[in-house]
Amino acid sequence: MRVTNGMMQNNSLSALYTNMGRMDKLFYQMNTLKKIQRPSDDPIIAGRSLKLRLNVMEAEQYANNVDEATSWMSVTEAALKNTTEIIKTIREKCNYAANGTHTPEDRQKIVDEIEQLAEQLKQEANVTYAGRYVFSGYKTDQPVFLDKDTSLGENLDLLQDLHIKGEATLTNGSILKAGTVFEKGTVFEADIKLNGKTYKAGEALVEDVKLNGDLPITTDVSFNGTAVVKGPERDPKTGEIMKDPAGNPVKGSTLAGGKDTDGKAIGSKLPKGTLNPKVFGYVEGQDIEYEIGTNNTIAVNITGMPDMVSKMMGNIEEMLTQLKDPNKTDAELNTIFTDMIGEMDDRLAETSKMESELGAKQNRLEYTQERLNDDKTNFTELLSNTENVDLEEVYVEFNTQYMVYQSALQATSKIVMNSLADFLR
Amino acid sequence: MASSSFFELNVAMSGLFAAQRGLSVTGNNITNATTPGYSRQVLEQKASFPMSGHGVGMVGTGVDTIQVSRVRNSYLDSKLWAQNDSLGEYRVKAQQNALVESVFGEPSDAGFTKVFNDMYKAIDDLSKLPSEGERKEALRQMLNSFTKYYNSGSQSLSDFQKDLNFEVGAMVGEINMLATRIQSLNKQIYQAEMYGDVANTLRDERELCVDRLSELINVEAQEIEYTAPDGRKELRYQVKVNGQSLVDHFDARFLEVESRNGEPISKDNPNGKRNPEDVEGLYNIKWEDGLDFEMYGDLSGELRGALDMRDGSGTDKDDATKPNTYRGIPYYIKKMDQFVTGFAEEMNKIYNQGADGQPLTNADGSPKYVLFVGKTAKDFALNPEILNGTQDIRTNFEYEPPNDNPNESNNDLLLALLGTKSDNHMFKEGDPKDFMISMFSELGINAKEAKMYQTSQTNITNVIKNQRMSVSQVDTNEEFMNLVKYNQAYQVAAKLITTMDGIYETTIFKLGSW
Repeated sequence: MRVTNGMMQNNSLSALYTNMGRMDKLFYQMNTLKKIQRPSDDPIIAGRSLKLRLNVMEAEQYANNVDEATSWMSVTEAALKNTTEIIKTIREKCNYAANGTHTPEDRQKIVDEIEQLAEQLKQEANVTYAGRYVFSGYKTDQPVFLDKDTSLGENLDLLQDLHIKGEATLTNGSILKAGTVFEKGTVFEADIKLNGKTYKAGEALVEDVKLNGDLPITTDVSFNGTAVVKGPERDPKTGEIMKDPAGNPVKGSTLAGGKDTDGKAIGSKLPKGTLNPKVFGYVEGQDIEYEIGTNNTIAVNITGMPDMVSKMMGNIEEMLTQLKDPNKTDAELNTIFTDMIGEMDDRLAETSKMESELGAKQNRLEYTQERLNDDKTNFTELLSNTENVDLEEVYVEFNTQYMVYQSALQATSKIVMNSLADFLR
Repeated sequence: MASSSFFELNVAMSGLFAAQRGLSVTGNNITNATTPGYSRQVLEQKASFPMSGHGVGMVGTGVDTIQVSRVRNSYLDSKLWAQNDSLGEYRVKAQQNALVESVFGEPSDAGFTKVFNDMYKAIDDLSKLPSEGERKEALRQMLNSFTKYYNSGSQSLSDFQKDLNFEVGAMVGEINMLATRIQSLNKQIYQAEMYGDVANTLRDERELCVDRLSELINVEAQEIEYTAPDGRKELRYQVKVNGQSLVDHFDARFLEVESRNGEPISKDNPNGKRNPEDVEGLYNIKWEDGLDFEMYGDLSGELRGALDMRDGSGTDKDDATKPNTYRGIPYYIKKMDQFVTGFAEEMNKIYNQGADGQPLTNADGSPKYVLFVGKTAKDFALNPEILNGTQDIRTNFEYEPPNDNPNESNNDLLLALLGTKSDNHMFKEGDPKDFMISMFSELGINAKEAKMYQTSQTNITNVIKNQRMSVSQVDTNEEFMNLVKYNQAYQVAAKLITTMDGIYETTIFKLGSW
């Protein structure tokens, strides 16, 4: 075949292009340590690496969530542990008080201590994580116990009986259900008509007054003392809210709320230390879920606390009321503490139930964390296997290619330089 | 008997002339060694008609130059033209697909995977602290950048489509220009060859035009013998593109472009928009004389590459409008639109759900809460009220802004939104990322295919080009050799004249006795 020097020039040029193309690819791989630059370099690798990349990111995110859930739960764990300790201490005090003979002063001292412990319990129930109340269900902006005198911004239907102790105001629009009790010693700021009888302003009640019918409040009622505002009627066995004949749940008392023009709450006012009615009774089922896997969530919060502390406060209230009875004998007084021990055992059981629930969740978190770490390692490794080049391999290949390129250049320079003209004289 | 006295001088003269002509052909070859399309020329020569030597055999009378002809194999030309169109088509497709790939920026740390993951991460982060303002702001920004990814992708693709349309226009212009050129060369060649010459250079130029034409469009060119009514035979050159006549001897036909109207294409509106995603005013191609030009069918070449990329919607529905089934730019715009529609619908459905699981509606029946607006990738956006913060982001099904959030840590709505990330039923391709990744894979396969065909067509055409060069290209070594050859021939002929001169000197001056 006739070969022209133009053909040789063209062929060596296209050979050089091919060489440089390979060099360029290897150079890119050395620079980025990635096998491919665009999907068309290898569509299969591209698709797989995209998925793996997302898998890695996902595993990282889930691991973050597990970490946050773990922190949340350790705060809960510490509070529950303290709660158990406090209840145990109260039980010990009761045990001490229930046995042997005690002077009224001794007894008073024990009662004072128990009341102090109860205050501590309120602190534990109000524990926060990152500014959020951990035992308040979804209402993490609301403490379990009011930490200051609080006015309601909106009307609130009670879901449980509400114990109020101290200065309180029920504003116009509130409805007190039958069964609501104003206890002995309560003082009203203005004259009030209860059960058809008028009680004078400033005069303490000489006995408990239990409403025998619903009382809609049309003018604000302020009082100082103790009241139990009736929640909805509950089935004594199951604790479920009773239903009316139409099948709708019956309503408990309503506390009226209100706001002034600036949006500040000016409705019914409850004293500090009252169990927060916005939380109490509402927390049931309010699990705060964190995603720790695909379609896999874990509830980070424990919802049993308000219920337990409410019973606890009830127990202490009950104990205090009974102890005030001047007619009780020493033996009878001791029995009050004995009863208290039984109640405390129940509370301890409830707390321990919460602790074991939490423990189970923490175990699950730990297990998940391990799995996520494995996942992350596996996915990262797979991703790296899929899209990363082997450095040694590409380095050797690059050098080989570089030598090929060099010799191609050499050869080309020889071919292109000389022609017959160089030798003709 | 002696021959004519100056016979040998005439023989030498013919040698001088032949050698000189040979030198000029060689010179012409050398000077045109780098001229595109030029085929080397050779001088054909033969011994002149001999005279009778009256008993001593025929006596040679010198040399005749017959003609200067080019060395060319027309079979190789047609072979190249038959392959060049595919090369042109896949070259354009490889280029354009690479551009489309660059739009999506995958695989990298800055493409879809990033915006997609960032968005879900922001939802997840907020689900852990649903009332925190910073996390809400982060989510707003991430939702916004997610929509922007689709806006800019779709916009870039539309820009490419517009550019391609200009290219189609330019290609049609170039085809017309080449048709005019070939037509006028036909006239020149016809006239030059009327008296038996071969118009070497003009023919080279005509074939160069067809070379270029064959990259643009599938072409058939042939020279046929035509017998005129008066019995004369003449050669006529015919060029067909895409099966239809472009140049026939002295006649040329031209293509023209016509902008499509804004209405969708149908039987009654054949000049309508082919794909709803198309930019306005894309060109249809037709013949100036009104005949139809088959834009998709058997057409190939760069023009086909550009048309496929510009119009290809990937649909295989064979209806009256004859859609382009290639996966071109409209296909990817459509895919992004599909994603946006499906994704926004699902997200909005969840976002507008009330505490009872039913959708919330305004008085006029419209949905009360909207997360994403827009049905196409181009106008896909985060609800502006959410973006500018006038409407708070809903975090749970009970929260109906502007009312207060009743349960700030309830994150059930966010968790439901998070669930869409792995919702296998959202698309027939699977969950959202599967949809997008399958699109990237399709694109990768398409681009790879184009690159592959481009490479193999380049190899094929290179082989043919080499064969053609082997036949036609000027080789400088050879020409130097010719230079030496004709130079020596000239010198020898000149020597002959000097020799004869000496003889005549002797004969005329020395032998004369007067």
